[in-house]
Amino acid sequence: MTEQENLSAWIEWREKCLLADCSEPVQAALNIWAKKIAHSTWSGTLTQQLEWAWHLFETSLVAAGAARAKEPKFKMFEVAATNPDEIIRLRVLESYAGKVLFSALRDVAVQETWGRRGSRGRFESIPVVRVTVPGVPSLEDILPDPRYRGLQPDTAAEDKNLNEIAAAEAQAFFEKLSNPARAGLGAYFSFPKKPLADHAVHTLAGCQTSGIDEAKKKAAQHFAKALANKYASDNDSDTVRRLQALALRHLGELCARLFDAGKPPTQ
Amino acid sequence: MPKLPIFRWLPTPPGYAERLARWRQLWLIEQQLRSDHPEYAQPLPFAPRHARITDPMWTRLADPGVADISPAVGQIRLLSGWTVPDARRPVYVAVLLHWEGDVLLLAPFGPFPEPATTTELLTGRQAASFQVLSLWNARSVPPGLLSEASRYVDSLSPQELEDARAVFRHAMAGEDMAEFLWARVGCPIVHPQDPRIAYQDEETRLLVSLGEATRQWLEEHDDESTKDESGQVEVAPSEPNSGRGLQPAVGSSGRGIRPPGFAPPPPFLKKREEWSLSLSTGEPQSTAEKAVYMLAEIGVRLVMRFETNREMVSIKIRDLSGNPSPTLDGARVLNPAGAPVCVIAGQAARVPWRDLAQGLAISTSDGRVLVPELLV
Repeated sequence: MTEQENLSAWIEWREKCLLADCSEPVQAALNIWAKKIAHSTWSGTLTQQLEWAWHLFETSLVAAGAARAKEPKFKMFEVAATNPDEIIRLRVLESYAGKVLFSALRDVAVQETWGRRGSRGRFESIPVVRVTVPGVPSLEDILPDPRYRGLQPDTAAEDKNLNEIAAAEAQAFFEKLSNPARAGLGAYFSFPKKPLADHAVHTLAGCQTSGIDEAKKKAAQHFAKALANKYASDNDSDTVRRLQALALRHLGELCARLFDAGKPPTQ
Repeated sequence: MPKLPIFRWLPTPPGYAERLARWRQLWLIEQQLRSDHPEYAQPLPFAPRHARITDPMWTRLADPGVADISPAVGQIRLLSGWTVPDARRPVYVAVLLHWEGDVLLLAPFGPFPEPATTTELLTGRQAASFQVLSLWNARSVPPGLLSEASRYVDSLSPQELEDARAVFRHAMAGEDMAEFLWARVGCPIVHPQDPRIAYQDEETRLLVSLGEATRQWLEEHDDESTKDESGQVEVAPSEPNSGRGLQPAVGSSGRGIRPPGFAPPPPFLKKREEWSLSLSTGEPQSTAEKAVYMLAEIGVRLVMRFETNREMVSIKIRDLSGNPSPTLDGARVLNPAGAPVCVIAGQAARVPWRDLAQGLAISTSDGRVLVPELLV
């Protein structure tokens, strides 16, 4: 078919609405167009003759079930119509329609893998298929923890209980802390934060800044590890982490109070 | 071993892993198609704004035969291509709300038949174009522009509209959703290289030109709502095609000229005097106490709320999925004089309302100054 004839085919389809109502040459021309696109992308298991390609395009272009379902069809011709040249109009129609068909083929490809869409518009239940592509994180990488929705509301009693345990652990650990560690943690948890070079911090610590920083880090790590050793084996790991965070904050606040109270360092 | 209290978790939506697997596969196929077929990767052809059809036959071919319906809340409309010139698909939008400042809030339908994140909703519709609504990408446009640049296609049912609004509120302010909605959205992004981040970036950029079209439309129509009592016109700064912080003064305070390179103040500040009066008279207060800005280049939103004392504005930093984001921790909010008015820490900040009354920008901890885009 010449380009002019191809354009006439699109026009006839627009005027007749359905391909089945068009003349045979028009049906042939548009089917060939659709099959060519489908053939360039399709590797699925549906009929190899790809007779369904035009039907897929037609049903994808219109907004099925909508009050003005054919609005997108008129839009396609409007876009083509604003070009002065007939051959450009053909190119525009084929480009516009081609993108619609490519997208539809993409969706059908996934449907084939996952099962047919159910009556509510959702895919029905399916096995998980792993698709691996170099450089793209795997499904396992991007899946969130199943608890991503968070805690159920109304955990006030559990929160209070956990907080009390955290406070008690912090108090016990505080009493064993060295002055440099107290000074470092106290500086960090003061509001506003005190720099480690602060005079009050040095006075409490009784050593240089590097020693304070080192003592602070070691104390925090040691405390977290001690809590993990004590609680991890019989408790939910997430709850243990929350306990560690709460207890460290309590410990820091205890240390920070040393600056407010102005107490001399004790061991 | 000592026992800790047992915390109960909210149930995971059924099939969330399968849903994400399908979305990922759709996205991978899409990338493959673009790579294998460069023509497919190009944007959809569109008719330029003000384009005319001179051929009578083609006028008839392009004519739907029925007059368009004026834009209204609850409609589904097909956008004209010139408002979204980078789109590879016809872009449909759902009109969700009539917003303050006489604008309509709308959300686009997504490109895939699976929701990507917790802020995309599976609608249950069969038509491929209407299967997923991207509430995270909602924008506000004047009704006049929507009338010029779109056509009516269908209407949402009352239930569809209510569901969309619930997911929108979840997207914008982290409000919880009913259980049945959790079963119809995707799951959150947790991995820094999750392909959904690139997907959201692309979809965000798609609608940036809609914001530019809005600005141009408002300038052309010299909208009365952009003038303050003195008659001064709010001038939106122009910056070539950046799409950053260039929303027109939709619902802004309209006081004076805003310096270039700054976003407009939150719209709710305009009503502060009204609220003060209503507090003394006991009259119902405006519920429009929230503003949302976006920083597309770093993928975060700033959700601002007027606190009940009407003296402070709280700012929460969220990622595009609606989760708290530490991306802006250490950044400063600047007033148009360039002075910092607060520091963002712990994914949030509070600032006296006066410090935002003329506009704002963000100075990041690495020294960049970013202009957020006012969405609603």
